[in-house]
Amino acid sequence: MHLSDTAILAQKPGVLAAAIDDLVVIMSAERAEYYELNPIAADIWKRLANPRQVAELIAELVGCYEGDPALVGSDVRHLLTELAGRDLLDIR
Amino acid sequence: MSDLFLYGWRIRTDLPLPELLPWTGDDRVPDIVVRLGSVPPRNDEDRLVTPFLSVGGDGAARFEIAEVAAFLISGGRDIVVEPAVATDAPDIALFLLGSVLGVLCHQRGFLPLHASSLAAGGGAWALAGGSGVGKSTLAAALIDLGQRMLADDVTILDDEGGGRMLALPAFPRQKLWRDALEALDIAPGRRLRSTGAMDKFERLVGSRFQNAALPLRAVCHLVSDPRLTEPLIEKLRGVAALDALMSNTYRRIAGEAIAGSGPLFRRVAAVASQVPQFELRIPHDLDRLDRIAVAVRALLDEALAEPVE
Repeated sequence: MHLSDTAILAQKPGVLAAAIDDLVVIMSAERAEYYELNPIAADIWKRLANPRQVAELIAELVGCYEGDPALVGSDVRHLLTELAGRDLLDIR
Repeated sequence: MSDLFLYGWRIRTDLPLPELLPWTGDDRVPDIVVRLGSVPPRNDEDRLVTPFLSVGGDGAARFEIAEVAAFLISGGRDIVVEPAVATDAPDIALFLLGSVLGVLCHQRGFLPLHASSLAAGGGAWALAGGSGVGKSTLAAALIDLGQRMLADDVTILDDEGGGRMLALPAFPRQKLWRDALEALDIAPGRRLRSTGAMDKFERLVGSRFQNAALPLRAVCHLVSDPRLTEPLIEKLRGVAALDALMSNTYRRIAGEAIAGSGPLFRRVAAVASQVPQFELRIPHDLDRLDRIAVAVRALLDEALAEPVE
């Protein structure tokens, strides 16, 4: 699946999240699986509580983590593709 | 019959429950009422959750074991029992204090664990695991070392909020296999269940019963490991912690159907995030049970003394 940078994403309703130790665990509505998010992925997930455009999200994270835009962009797109692939996101 | 005590609830019952302590608390209206009566057959609209359990649209649950009894459990409070055998048959109490209690718990919004729980230094330890893994046997050995018992088979948790997760006291009785009783040199009480070659018996713990709730300090998820000669403990984090707790949630399938998978997930996640979770691998060696228990205590004391990262 390819996500364009102009796609607008949000947490899919019905996906539950809980913080356990320093990780966030999310569970899909169909509750077949849980996923563990490391602190950065958890941050991204939290930001998706409201709809966000992919490009916007990348820009925010580049600012926040002072990372190389190309690397941050690539990592974020990869994570978002994973989350979307597991039906955890609403995509517009 | 006078009212009885069960996990801090006042229970009024037509059915004899000799394992429970008498109610000596306040003069509240009973929290739970068990009466004999007729249980209507399953409705077409009811959802069949397991071969024995169905749930109606109003949340009422119907649990039936052929040739034992049918139970109707509503509102986390009212239980109607229609026995197929004599009312003092141990099997009826067994299911009432087992699956029916589990359903009741989920209706009341409490989380039940398949675990024995013991008092330790002002808090409680829960030893969780499936049937036959050795929770009661290990608990029995720890009781012999001086720890009081809160519960033997089902540990019920009360999330008071603000990080306070309490383990509730049940009743002063264990169910142990004959070989465990022999290994611990304990005379068996009433026979509870005969399944082929192996019998389970009552072991009354008397004054070694912890009759007040205690804050839960640790949950150990037991794994029987015949390769080991000594127990091993390992901290569980994140998904591993959550998964272990989900697996050891008592009557989890019923809980998901009754409370909903969202609320249940939140309850389990609250425990996983507030209470340290461990995997405890134990050797299956009844001859060295007392030494294994001593080793388990030392391991857990050490694991809990470590600074939380």
